[in-house]
Amino acid sequence: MSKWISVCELDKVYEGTGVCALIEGKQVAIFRPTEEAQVYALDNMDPFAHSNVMSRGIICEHQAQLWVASPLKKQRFNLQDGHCFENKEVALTTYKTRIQLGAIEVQVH
Amino acid sequence: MKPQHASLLAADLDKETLVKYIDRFMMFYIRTADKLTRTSVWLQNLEGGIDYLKEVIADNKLGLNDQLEQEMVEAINSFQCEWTTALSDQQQLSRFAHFINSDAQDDNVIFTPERGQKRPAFFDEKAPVYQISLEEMK
Repeated sequence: MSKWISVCELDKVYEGTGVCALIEGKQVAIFRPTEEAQVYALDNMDPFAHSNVMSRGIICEHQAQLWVASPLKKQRFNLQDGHCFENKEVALTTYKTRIQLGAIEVQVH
Repeated sequence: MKPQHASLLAADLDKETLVKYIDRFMMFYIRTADKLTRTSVWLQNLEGGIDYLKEVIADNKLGLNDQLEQEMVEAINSFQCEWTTALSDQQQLSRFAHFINSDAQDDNVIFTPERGQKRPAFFDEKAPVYQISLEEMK
């Protein structure tokens, strides 16, 4: 049964940045590209470096889509579906998100 | 850039004058140098060279000295250590935590001793971590 887990207030995530949340033992990177109430959740681990750093990545727009570039070697991952722009064989798991009463909620199962 | 000996701007100054001269020098440099120019290169390209600089700083040739000193006072007064500011601001500090919703640390950051010091462990030195949920085992 999938359930929504409340993470933090939306206001805690500055626009154009990400944060990392600990959700049921998983590290989930949550990104807020603009000041709008829209966030994206992906695995926090950089699959190339095996480091939990994705939440510190830089959000960018490329080919009219939103991506986050790993802070280490800059590979871009699609915020919508997690696929990697530089390497088709690699992808980050994505998680469903929603904003409920000003709080970010994520589904990890 | 060729190495060269320093040229003397002034000598035998008392402390007060020394500080004044340095203040004037710094502010004059900031006003007239291009971005990221070293003071040595700036001086080399300065028309009139060190003699002109002497006239400006010691003899107040341009009548700027009060202004230059005032600018330095303002610079000192508006100075803040950004590290100290960040450390005393709870909002800033929260951005240095690994998790937004937990005080836990990243369990993937592991150090290993090497020659009496510590370094981050390589990937293959880390033991795999299994997340076991008791709920799921029921």
